[in-house]
Amino acid sequence: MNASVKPPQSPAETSLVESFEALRVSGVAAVQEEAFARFLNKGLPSRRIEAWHYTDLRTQLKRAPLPARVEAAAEAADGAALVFLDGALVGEPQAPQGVSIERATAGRRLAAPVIDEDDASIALARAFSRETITIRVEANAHCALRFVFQNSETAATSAAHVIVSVEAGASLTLIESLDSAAGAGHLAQALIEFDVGEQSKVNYIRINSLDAAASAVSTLGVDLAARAQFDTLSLTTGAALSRHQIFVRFAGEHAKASICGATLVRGRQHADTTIIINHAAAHGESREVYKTIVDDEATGVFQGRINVAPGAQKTDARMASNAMLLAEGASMYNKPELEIFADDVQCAHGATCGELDDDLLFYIMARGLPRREAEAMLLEAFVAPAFDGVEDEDMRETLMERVRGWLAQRK
Amino acid sequence: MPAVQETVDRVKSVDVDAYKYGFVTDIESEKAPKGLNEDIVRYISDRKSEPAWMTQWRLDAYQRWLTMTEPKWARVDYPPIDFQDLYYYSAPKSMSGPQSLDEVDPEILKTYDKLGIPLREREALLGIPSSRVAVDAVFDSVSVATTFKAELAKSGVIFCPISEALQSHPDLVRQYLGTVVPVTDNFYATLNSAVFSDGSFVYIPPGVRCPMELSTYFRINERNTGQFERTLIIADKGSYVSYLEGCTAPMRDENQLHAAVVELIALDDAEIKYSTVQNWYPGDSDGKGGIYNFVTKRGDCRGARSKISWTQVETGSAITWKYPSCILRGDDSRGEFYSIAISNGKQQVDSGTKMLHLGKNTSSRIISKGISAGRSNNTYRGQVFAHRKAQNARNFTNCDSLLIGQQCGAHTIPYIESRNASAVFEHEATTSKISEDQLFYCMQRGLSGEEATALIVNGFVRDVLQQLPMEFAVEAQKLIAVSLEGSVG
Repeated sequence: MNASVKPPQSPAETSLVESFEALRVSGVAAVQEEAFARFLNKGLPSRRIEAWHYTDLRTQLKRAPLPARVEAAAEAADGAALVFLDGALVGEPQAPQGVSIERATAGRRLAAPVIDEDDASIALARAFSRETITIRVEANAHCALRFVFQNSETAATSAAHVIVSVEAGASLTLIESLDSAAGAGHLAQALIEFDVGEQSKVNYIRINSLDAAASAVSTLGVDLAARAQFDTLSLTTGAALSRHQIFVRFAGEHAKASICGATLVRGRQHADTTIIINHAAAHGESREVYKTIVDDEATGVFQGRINVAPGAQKTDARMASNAMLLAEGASMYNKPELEIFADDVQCAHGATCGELDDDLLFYIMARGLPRREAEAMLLEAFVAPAFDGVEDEDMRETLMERVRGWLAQRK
Repeated sequence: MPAVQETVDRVKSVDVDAYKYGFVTDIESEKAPKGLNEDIVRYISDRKSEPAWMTQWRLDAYQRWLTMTEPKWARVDYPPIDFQDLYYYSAPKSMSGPQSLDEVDPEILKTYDKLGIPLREREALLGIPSSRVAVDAVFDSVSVATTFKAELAKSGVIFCPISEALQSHPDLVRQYLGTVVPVTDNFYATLNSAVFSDGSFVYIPPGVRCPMELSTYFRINERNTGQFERTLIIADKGSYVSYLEGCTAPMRDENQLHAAVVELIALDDAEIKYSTVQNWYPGDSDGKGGIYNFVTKRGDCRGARSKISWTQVETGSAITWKYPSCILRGDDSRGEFYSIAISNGKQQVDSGTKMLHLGKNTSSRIISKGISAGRSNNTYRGQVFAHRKAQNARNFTNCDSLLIGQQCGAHTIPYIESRNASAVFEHEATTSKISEDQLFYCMQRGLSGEEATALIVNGFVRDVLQQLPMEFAVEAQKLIAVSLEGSVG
């Protein structure tokens, strides 16, 4: 079927071909080859592809570095943390009680995939994933895990593929952090898939504080069984170019999902969040709250689509994206979509975009605060609602502290 | 809770099977040969005795069109259109050369009577003076009559078929034609530029408030004919005009193509209010027949403090592909878009607007209400854009959808693009049932459940109906069969 593989269309694609060549040297699985051929046929997503209208990887991604060499890292990871160095899982992590962690060669898939396999960026992530980590949380177990994605001083193209399967009645709290060494132009990819069983509960917090030289393209897929609940929050301050795409399917009735996030970008950063919620079963409830602050000449993108299939009656879906532009050169692109095929549902989306209110600023400054502090106070209040759903107070404070830290660095 | 019976009945009353304007006028017509080529373009130009530059303009457009492909991004699905299997020009045989209303074929007059469009001024005068409307009636490819021309001329207003304007005011036409919708704009606009046959031309001189509503009534009658009309409205500095557009077509088994271009230009302090009641034949309940409506409508707020407002009630057409837009070029200019789109049967609507904020302190407002029933699909697609230099741009968008039945779809696809920090954009969209709280509130005050629902449904579309001029509001009301609370306007 791939008789005619298209030649690379951009410098980034050329360097990806070289990068994949380097990967081949240490051996790649057939599924990786197949995924890379699929990727090459489509090429990097460009603005001609509707889902990538505002993030043109073909032109915006300058170059993909070579993959990191595989080394037997001996770093000991603490109990419940899975440390990924340049995309590869380090050591043999210890699984907490009720959890099993399995490493397998690449290619494993969710029984019913929810992500869009036609998307070239997903094919690319599959091509660069050497192995698939499968985490299974046993029925009725309650546990916490951490993912630590680190990227070394040498820029590398990497990808990690993780499947998390949470069985009926279990609960999982997962905290993920993404960091990279200063100045290293990594291309960090991740593909994380959740299979959330009946009446189980997942709380997933993701903090992207990659260095401003790195690029990140990540995909999250979530399949929700009946009465399952999935809450996720992502705080993005890092990466020159980041794209976080989230696919959620309501496969069982009475499932709930809350997908929230705050994106704070400055300089010439470009941050894209794309969410597709598929309500395939009745009585589903979904909530999205996204707050974006764009400073300097940065760009924020929020695309969110709520699909309601025929028969998914009594769906209650709400989506809000609010953006604050702080500087003349800042841009924000909002594209909230609704696609409804059932007549007894409640769906709504709201999108706003604007600057700080002068009257509010004046009010605070009149009480003696300098301008920057007054602005920081208002911006903190603007972001806070995105964290409302975080039950753990310490966690909420940690997140707010990061927001304050970002605000304090404003020039 | 799905929509209640009364709403369902009312929507059903405008269902595709209940199309009232589907009769055919039996009249001899003169047609250009089927198909499209340079000769046809020359033929149309020749029939209208157009100046040489106009013929060349059309030919250039035709050449350009040959290189273009049909847009496929809209959420509509239809078999490929054979552009060579259409008549691009059809005129009633009796219509040779200019004439007075008395010479118009009585059959045509009867047609317009039947449609409820008064073409005789004295009849129209019987009405309340303030509600007089000047009408330009377009029948297939030609304008058959334009009323109140003399009276309008007294205030300096030019209102005539565009083919006539090309003879009497060629410089004005040449100065403005194609400046809002360029020849190369899109597939259908380019096709229209090559083969447009007639349409209205309006020029309001500086400082003049047009003394009456202007309107055009489009009627497709002939089989296998495409209608390609072109409307050009220029409101010079400080002027005001309200313009109405209506359209119907006979019920036929085959699909017919309608690809119009409307260009509005508002100079400093001018205001144009453009209202449409689109009631083209929607096809039968199985989706057979009906008009394919591919229309490019765009207004250019060229001057400072100018204002353009689009109001549309869309009930017809098998396919609607239409995005009346505003280019807010002048500082402090304002654009508005109010729309009710009702789809039924197997209709497909993909409609919305674009508000392009280029000047400083520009503002825009979008209110869109979609009601889908039957097996139809109703899409709102809109763009709000603030240019880097559009200081203090403001937009408010509200799009609501109501679904009646299990087999229809409602979609909202907005593109909100801000490249200026001082621009403030607000967008909200909902798809919902009628809330129990609202029902309870009304019923507590003594209304029955049905009455309460009717009241709430009226409220659902009222924002838009209020924007329509009196004459149209009445027609729109009939179309939607939603009674308003006593008054309109």
